[in-house]
Amino acid sequence: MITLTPEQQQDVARRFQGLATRWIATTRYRSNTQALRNHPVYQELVALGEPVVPLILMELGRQPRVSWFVVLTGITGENPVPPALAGQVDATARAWIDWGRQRGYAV
Amino acid sequence: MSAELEGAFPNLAADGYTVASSKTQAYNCVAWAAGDASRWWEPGIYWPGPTGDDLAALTGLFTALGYVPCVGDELEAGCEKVALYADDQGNWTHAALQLPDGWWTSKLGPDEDILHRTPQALLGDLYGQVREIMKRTSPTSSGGTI
Repeated sequence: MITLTPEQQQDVARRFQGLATRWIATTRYRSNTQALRNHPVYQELVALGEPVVPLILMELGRQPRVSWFVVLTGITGENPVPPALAGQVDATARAWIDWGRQRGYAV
Repeated sequence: MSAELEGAFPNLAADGYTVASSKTQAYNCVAWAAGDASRWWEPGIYWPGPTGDDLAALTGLFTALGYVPCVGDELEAGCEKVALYADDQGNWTHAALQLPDGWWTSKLGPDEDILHRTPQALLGDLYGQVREIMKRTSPTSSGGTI
């Protein structure tokens, strides 16, 4: 896990909030979020890397959104969702949050 | 009626539509067209068909569900039809299901369900064009599965 200074954390959080707003707007009405992996906002989110993972997990805790799953997988290379729960959005969000807690993220 | 929807889909108001549900992330257009309101159907999430982002993945999925390609989107007795959309890059974008009365039902990604008069109502920058119409024999004599 990358350790950031408080100033760096604030900078990442500020950049993330701006990108999150744009990502939610970009994915509105869309069912094929995987096809947006070349979108500039997706690319910027993934480029922020591991420091935004806990921020995304907190977003999922507030409101599960499918569009975050592809970003999390893009950053981490992981898919912690058991096959039996595939497609169940609330359960997928919980699986990601549990995954984060197991890795020490404060979510 | 919704100004946001009509802004996103410029043909919608002229075509005629009704908002039929509140917004939910629980399912998307493909799941809805397939008769499943409990899951989000997308490659990488849940997808009981050939994987991929392109139209072939979407047509392959509906082929697995018993659909075959057909020519027109007009209502045919004893059949149910889906309209499959893709953008200019060839990525699938949307699936709409025809109801027994000839109208179409669409779940708009993570947003609401609407009823619309024709598949053309949703053409535009977001969903691109209708690239395939497919049909299958209605599972019930009275028509739709939803």
